[in-house]
Amino acid sequence: MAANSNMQLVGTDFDQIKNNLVNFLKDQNILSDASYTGSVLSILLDILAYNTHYNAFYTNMVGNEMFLDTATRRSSVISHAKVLGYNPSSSSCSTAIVDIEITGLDLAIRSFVMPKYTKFLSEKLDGKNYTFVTTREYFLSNETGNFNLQGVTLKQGTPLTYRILYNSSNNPETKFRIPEPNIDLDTLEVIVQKSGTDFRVDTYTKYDDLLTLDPNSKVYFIQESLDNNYEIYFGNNVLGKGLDDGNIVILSYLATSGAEANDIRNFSLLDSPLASYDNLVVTTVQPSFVGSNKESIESIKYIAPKTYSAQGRAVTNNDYIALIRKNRNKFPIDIVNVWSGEENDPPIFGKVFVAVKLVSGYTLTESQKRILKEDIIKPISLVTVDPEIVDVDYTFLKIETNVLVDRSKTLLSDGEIRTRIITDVKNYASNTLNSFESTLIIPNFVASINSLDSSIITNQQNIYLQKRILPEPGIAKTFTVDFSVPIKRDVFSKSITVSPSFQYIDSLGATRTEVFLEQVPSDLTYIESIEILNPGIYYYIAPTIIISGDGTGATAKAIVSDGKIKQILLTNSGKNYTQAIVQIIPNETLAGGTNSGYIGMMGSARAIISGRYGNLRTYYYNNVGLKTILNGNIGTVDYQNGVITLNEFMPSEINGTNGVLTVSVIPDSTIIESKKNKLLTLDVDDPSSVTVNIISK
Amino acid sequence: MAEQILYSDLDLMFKIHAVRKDLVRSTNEQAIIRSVKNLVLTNHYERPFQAGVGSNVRKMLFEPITSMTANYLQKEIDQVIRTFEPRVSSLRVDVEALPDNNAMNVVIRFYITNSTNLTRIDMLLERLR
Repeated sequence: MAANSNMQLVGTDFDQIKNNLVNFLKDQNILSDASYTGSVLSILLDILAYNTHYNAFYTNMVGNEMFLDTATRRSSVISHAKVLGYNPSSSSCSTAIVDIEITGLDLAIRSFVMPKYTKFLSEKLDGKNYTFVTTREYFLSNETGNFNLQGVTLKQGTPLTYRILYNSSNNPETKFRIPEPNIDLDTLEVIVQKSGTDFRVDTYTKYDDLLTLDPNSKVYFIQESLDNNYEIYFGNNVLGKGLDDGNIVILSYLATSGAEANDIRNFSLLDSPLASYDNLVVTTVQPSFVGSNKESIESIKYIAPKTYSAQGRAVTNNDYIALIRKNRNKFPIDIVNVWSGEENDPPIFGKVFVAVKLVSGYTLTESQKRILKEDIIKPISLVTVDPEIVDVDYTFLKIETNVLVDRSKTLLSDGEIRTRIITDVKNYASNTLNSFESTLIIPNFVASINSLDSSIITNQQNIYLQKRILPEPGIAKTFTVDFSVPIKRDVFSKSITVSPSFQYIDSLGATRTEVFLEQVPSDLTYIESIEILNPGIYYYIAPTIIISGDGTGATAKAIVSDGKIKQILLTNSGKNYTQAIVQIIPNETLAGGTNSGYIGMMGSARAIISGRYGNLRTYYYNNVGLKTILNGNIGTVDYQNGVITLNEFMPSEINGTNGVLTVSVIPDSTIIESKKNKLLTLDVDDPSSVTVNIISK
Repeated sequence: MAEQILYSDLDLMFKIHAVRKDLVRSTNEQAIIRSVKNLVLTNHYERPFQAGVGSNVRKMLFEPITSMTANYLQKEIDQVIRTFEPRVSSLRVDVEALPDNNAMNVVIRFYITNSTNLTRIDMLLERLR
């Protein structure tokens, strides 16, 4: 019979198992037909292999579910998180703020009560209306015939109330299941009525800290059950007050659609005595936001071990991040970065710096910062550490892609290729960027676009980095814009621009209405190299290169081969260039030579100007269209460190709609990193953030 | 001299040897005939993870008993044996429709590799319901 040593125990696939069994049986000659598909032995081996495969699969799944890292079922992940003391966050209601105004009311009506859970109907979003409700009662008194109720908070959801009679013999664990899976736990109210005849009630609060519990603590505990619904349970008269037979547990909460109902801008009042008034206007102050779905499995896996290792105290950077992110429900926190004082530049000891990006909006308001610092971060910080909230420093990306497409290899239209590329760029941005400590690697980006479709031969990216400043008209202010990336030094390609144009009052008191800003690289500037833009045709004899600009002394010569300009070599770098134009003068003559009759044409090149520092100046075009310098030194540029400073900048008006000036630069690096509070992001609201130019071959 | 046993398989009936009280084996020609019959009578998707093994015989028996069905059946049987039974050569499959009996008469003839004896299997396929 076969030797056991030949039995292979690796592999759990049906085919592998069967092959192992067949190989095992090959070592004997009593039953030799195992390898023939039609044999009886083969049929028996099929059944054995199937059974083995089934068990292996089952064991594998059970094994996976035993560990937080590999578990895939939500109930398993929740159960592991529970052991780590982590309670995943629930769905949260989308919240809007509105003002309600009624005019021309009959003065005989002295007052109104708008009860809690008064319903408002939203406009349709994706073909669906949502119900929003008030979260408290409002008392309105009518004195002038006009009402103006400001700042009413509306939450999206259906208010539900359940009354459950408690009986210890049926429910010894005092567990109560909430029938809806998607509820906002922050809206859950738990009230215990003494009995059906005794109407006294106790309000129970959510369990927070084990150390403060005593037998009379009126707390309830909550957890997500195996079927993904929530269940609440009560104390055992040692840790928390228990229930008595005949108690009636009253649960009320909002069942919500979560993130679906975000970004709704119009509401109308539904079922209130007020709704019958024609002259009632609901004005939206804050469109609905912060609605979120139940915490995802991935998020639980990420946060639960970190909150466990932090044990409710923030010591390391990751502790801060995990504990701040846990407050996702109170604050619409998207991403957080934390660094200690000694990592700061310059180092400030005894501090911890926190940068928070919210789901919507770019910066935190002062009151949000105060709440974040005092209510969320201070209670978990070490005594000696002073937290400081730092605004996120956004750098916006603007991407221009030129794509060369082989038309013979695709049926896609230009529009479809463009859509694919824009989607890919936006996916890349949301996966790779839009988080702290991220890195944009432009070659990877190019490769990712090339791999989108076999028809894309190559693509070339023009990447612009943009930062936005908000000058106050008529107030002189110094702005420092730190890109932290080397900036390309080149007047010719406009590597530093400011848009839109702005208005400025000149020294004579006249208002210049279209003022622009440009760079002037420092005096010690010279031509660094010459880049060939188009090698041209018919250059059989090297053309003469003439460099003209505001500097002096630069000379260069061209090297040609096969009728094309291969290289332009600088023979003298010259000096004091802020702008240079490269002229290519063909030298072909009609007389003699095999290629006579051809004149070199279409060649073009540009000069790249060097110099570490530069100035910024403002200029305008006068009434005859001549460029006139307004202020020759309005700021400075540090090209190497990527810092632009505008000194005492005082435009009288910005020629744009929202008063924001966008400073745009071309980076001189293919790797762009974002550290600390810097965030590299693609503005999805700006349709010009990604432009695709398709060139067909 | 006893015949050399090249092929040996379990007996489908799991009979017990009268003397040795061991399971009876089917060997050589007998084993191959059994194997061929098994292949013909197996339906697609019957063997786990091997959907391709088998012929469509059972389904064909519920088609009209005509020469066209017989032709199709012949091709199915021929194909399954050629694909999964490497021990047979010079295979010939004949299927005759017997409409009066509601049956198909199948005759399979082949040589076992390295043997000079023609092996013949006669099967009368009838549907049961």
